[in-house]
Amino acid sequence: MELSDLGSNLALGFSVALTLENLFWCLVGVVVGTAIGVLPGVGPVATMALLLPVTYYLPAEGALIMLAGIYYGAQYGGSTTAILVNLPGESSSVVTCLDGYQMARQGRPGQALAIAAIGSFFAGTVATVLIAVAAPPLTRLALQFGPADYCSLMVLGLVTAVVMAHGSVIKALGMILLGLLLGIVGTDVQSGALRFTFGVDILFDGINFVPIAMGVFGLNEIMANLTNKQRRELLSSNIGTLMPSREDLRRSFGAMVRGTGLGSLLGILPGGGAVLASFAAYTLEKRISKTPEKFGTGMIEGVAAPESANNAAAQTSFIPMLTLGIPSNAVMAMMVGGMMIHGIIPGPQVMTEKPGLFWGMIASMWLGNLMLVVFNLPLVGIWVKMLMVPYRLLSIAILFFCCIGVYSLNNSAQEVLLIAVFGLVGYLFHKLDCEAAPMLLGFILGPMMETYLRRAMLLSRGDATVFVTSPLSLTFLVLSALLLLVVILPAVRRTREQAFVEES
Amino acid sequence: MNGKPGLRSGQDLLCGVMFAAVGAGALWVGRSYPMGTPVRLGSGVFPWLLGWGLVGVGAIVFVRGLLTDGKRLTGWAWRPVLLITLAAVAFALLIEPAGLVVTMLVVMTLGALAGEDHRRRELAIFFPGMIAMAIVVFIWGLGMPIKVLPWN
Repeated sequence: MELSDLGSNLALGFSVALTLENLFWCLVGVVVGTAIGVLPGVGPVATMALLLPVTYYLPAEGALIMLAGIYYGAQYGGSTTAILVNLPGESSSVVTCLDGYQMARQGRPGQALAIAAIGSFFAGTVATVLIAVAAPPLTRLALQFGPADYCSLMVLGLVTAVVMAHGSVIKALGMILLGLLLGIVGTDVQSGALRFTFGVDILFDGINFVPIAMGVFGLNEIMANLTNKQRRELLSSNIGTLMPSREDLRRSFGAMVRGTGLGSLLGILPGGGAVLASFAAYTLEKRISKTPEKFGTGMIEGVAAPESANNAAAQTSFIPMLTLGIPSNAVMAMMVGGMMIHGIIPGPQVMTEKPGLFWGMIASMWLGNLMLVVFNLPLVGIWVKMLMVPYRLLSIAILFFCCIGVYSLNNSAQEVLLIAVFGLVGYLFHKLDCEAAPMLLGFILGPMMETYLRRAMLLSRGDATVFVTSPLSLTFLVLSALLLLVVILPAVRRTREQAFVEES
Repeated sequence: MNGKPGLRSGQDLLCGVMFAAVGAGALWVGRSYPMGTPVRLGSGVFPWLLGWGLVGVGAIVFVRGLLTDGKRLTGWAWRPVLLITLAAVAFALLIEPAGLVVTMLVVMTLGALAGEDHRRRELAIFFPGMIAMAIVVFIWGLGMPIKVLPWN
């Protein structure tokens, strides 16, 4: 019965995703994704923030299909720059530079690009099936959660985000608290009281998600990028043959499978995602290889594994967002933002109330991956040309799009002032080595967490022990405590720091 | 480098102060928010928890900055920071009274000045191109209610 359910669910999904309109938005998403993936210094978070206002004009399905396409499309694009220019187009392609660029220098850029694309497609296919299989049972489980369980689950999610954040754990914690606080600015839904509005009327409805995201990610990226210059040297515009040899394929296959497995797993974890997955997959390949010393000299496994892993993780990170309504990284926070623009409250009820949207999005991911693998390889030449657009012009365009994007949301000039404020704040964070992503998660979760906290207390008649007497809630809290403990222990901290040093 | 001599980690010290100040500010502003009862938590409970959390985190970061050698504060890149901020402010102030074309010229000029190298000849092609694109996409395409020129 389960299997036939899966079949009918996917059939429904494809019936939505295969409409001409949705195919078009999927294509737009993956093309934009690839483009920003190719360009260093323009990331998926900022791009999704830029396009959120545009999705206002689209139907919900098209909007979410397009936004999702940007994320996994960026994973494809990032590898192109890594292999041909030795610059990571995306932070998740950092390790691909190591062996991919060496392969290109040895005159095999085509094979490296092809293996990266094939690996990504393989991972994308597996991850799509995984989402389709895992989502229904997880959703059923989530529907049984009480408010206390939910509250504790969010704590677990935020703690994991802290652990996974780069750099200082305590600063990430501070950023989450800051985000939670920003999230509750405005009218309190329960009592109608105004909080932290300082009499400014645009704050009465709460701070809008888009100006924060654009200020902290969009404007701030320009400020930071304009100060550190990168040299872009194109190795050669001649890609050569794209056909990998039988030997290449044989060696890559194992790496793809392992990368996909590891990536899928790391993608589901809150705070995880493509960056961590690609790094972990590369390390794993190196460790199990018979010739680890050859890594960094153009080993094809060193391209296949991380490129599979980052795409797998990009897709499985949708699982907690789709089933539980809890975003696990900044990109998923953008997806939640996209849903809220269309009046959809993320959570387990999405699957039952909007099955077309839910399954359509999942089906579109596979279609998007197919488009990427079919279109991208022949178009590599065009993507590479895009690298010729100098950042001095790109930054001007991004600046303008940020402003008009925010303005188009509500035709409110005051909200554009907000992005100026958050751009400055974002730069301060950047200077203080505080990552903005945990803050964004806190911002999304703030109002939800407060609501569940209140509901839990109401149902338990004011008895706070409900958080430890409910077995689920207790499990989540114990897990959170263990995780925090593990990070604070010095031995683990050292390896973690090492891992992030190598990664960046 | 403008970390003051004697301060071990200027970055951590400032960061600690920032968190603690925001936390204290939240506690101060939220001091009048009702706490309610355990059964019906008032609107003041959550801000109170977060405020103290931030003060605590800020204190830890600050103390760590005093005790350990960490990163010093590095100088701010004032030029891009100020000019980009100014550009966003200019957009907010100009878009309604002055229309799209004037706003774009001001915003893009500020944006170009934010970067260190800007080439006039390149911009002479780039600016009109961007303006034409914006009129087509945002005004004709998306139908945004913005006037094109100040006197429209």
